[in-house]
Amino acid sequence: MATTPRGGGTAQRPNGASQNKICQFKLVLLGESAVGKSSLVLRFVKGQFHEYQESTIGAAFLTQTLCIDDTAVKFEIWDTAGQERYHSLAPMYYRGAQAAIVVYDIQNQDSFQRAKTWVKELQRQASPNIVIALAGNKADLSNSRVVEYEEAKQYAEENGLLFMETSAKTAMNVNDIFLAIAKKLPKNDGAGNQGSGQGRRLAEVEQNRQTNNCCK
Amino acid sequence: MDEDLPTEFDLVVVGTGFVESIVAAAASRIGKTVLHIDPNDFYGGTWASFNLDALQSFISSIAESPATDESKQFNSIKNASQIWHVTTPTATPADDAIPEGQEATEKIWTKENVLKEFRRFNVDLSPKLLFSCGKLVKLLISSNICRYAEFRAVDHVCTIINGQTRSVPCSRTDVFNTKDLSIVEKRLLMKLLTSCMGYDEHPEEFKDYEDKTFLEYLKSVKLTDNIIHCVLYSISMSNEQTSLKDGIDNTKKFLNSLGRYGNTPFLFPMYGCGEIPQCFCRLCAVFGGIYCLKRSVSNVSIADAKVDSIKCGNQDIKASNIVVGHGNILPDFSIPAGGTGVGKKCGGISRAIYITSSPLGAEELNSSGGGVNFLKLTDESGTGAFVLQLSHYSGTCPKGLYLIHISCSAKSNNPEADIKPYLDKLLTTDHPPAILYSIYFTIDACLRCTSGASITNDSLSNVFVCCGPSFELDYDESIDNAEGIFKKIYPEDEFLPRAPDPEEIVIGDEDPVSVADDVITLDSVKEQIMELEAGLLHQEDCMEENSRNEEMAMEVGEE
Repeated sequence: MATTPRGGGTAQRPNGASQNKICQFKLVLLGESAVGKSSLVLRFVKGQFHEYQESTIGAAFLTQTLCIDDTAVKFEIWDTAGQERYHSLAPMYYRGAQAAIVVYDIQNQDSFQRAKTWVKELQRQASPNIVIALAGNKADLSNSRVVEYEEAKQYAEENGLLFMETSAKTAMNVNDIFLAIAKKLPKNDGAGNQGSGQGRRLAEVEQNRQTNNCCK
Repeated sequence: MDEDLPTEFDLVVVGTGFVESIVAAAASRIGKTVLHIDPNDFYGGTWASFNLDALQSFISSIAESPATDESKQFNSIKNASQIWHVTTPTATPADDAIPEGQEATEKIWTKENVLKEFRRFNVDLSPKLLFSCGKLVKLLISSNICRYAEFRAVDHVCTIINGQTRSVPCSRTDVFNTKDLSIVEKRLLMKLLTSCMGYDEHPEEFKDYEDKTFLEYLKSVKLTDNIIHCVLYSISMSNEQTSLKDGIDNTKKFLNSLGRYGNTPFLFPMYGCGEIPQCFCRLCAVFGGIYCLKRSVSNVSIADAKVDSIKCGNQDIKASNIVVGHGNILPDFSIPAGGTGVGKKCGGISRAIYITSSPLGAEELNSSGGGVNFLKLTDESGTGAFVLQLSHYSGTCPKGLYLIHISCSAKSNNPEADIKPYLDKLLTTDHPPAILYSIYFTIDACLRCTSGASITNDSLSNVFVCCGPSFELDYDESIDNAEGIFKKIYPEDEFLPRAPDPEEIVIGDEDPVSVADDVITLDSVKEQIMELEAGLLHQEDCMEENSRNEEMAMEVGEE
């Protein structure tokens, strides 16, 4: 690959320009403190893992793009910024989210119960078409597991959730769970262009201008 | 999981309303440690949005509590009442039974089926609109908080002329397309708007009217009554007494905000104005602020005319400074008696909220299920009222229903009576809304505006009290209030400098250069797609390629 010159020279390739689409989706992470929400994001976005991950100061959200067929799925991934610690997560956090990953720690039964509460909360409060995935994280530590795979899988099936056990440490199933969500999201026209498809972002005008400039 | 809080902070903020949340965000942004608590189990205080269920309980709880109940946090809202104007039909018709003459699509709203949709409501206690070029929009963009929220451009600015609700032509296109004005009127209007915009460059054009009212000026340039009405009441939101200077300034503000996001100069936050304080809270949290709802301050210990520490739950928490929001008071907090207050007070707003099953005005004002429309009503002497109609497009009510908010200056302790003249104007138009449910309440001034004394200077030098909502359409005064408090506490520091974009964030020991490579260019995405089409790459490889392709795209871009 990489034999063709790039940057503005894409016209030589047949079918390229006309078929591709970029869909942007807001994805939120939910779950109890210390189940590894931020670690999953960092593994997925930066390919990194830190055993003693400090909370990510200054990061409102991170972005990563996956390719599904002829569509580039750009995830805007929102972390809780610690607001869940004292049960004080603001509802605006999951407003307009098209996807959510609810995370628990397979070594912690409480965190699984808490995850179920979050699923209920999302089903009640979030947009009706939200795609929810359940992630049993820290799967590398399965010798101290207390939440059985089958139990979580059954719960997920009953509630129409995607389910995987993941490990941010070994990267097991991390890309896969995002990919599974990306596949399930609607990529029809208008979907995922901007949040709920009804509102607009203030900086859109400026951002588009910037994008256009740098692609010249 | 009731973990203990840390016990020392640069700033403790009590209350999550608009002003408090901005101060919390600004302090956190410059690296101060912030604890942000609220005695309520929801964000926003007097600035909150509720779903219908929560709204009903909230209003009942105020209506039932005695006025002097000091334990109540919600002393900032009073005189609350609510009433349903529809009841359960005695003979419940089957769902598929459509009464004669009614279209199949038209749903009959009963109390029950409105309540069934309660989660689709986000009803604002303090609804506002943002001027597209106003202070809040500028602040949201300059601080980069705008990335957290979405907005709906207001569809129509309306006015009522001779009992008809009409759209006020805002843009040049509007002016030329409207059927309400004659060709001559259109020319006159454009000429007037142009000369208002040129006020600073050509003050001589207005010389004879400097000490006259805006209305007198409008009459002098031979405008028709129609145009005078639109310009005076809707565009400049003035009244008969407004001076030329204020009238022109208001007109310019309106015109300057045109053409940025939509057909009118205004934006409304999706899911209600209650989202805005939460956006600032999120920024505060993103920069390390700690959030804890359902916590109040049960005691304060004072040393050297300063609050040294507060009691929160069973913990003593040291705080260098304390910011207290509208509707919250600290225990033993002395409010200086007397004083009439200087300048404009916050609060003092009479509010009405209606759920209606039909919108205000004809179909063209409410195309495809209803618009988000704004209407400024005036009266002979007063400051008038702001009327905001929200359809489901704003994310604040279910499809087929509308929220109509009316706000006016409080003239009495009876908000319903204060609002009535304005409601009557709406109800006597050609297309009045059909009201299903109504709520009335008063938003009180904050402690500081009520007592009229400078609490912070007189008693406790490190306690700062925030104002509640002011009777203004946008948030200008509230932002000034927040910035003023911030500057008093941190005079040397920048107020809400721009927060980084996700692409600019460096994590851990990451090489900043590779971060820059994460910027996804259109070309690199195209490449990936083509490669996938060709079946060359496995999905996981794609992700690795991602960064390599980008490097190349970057290089090419830089050449």
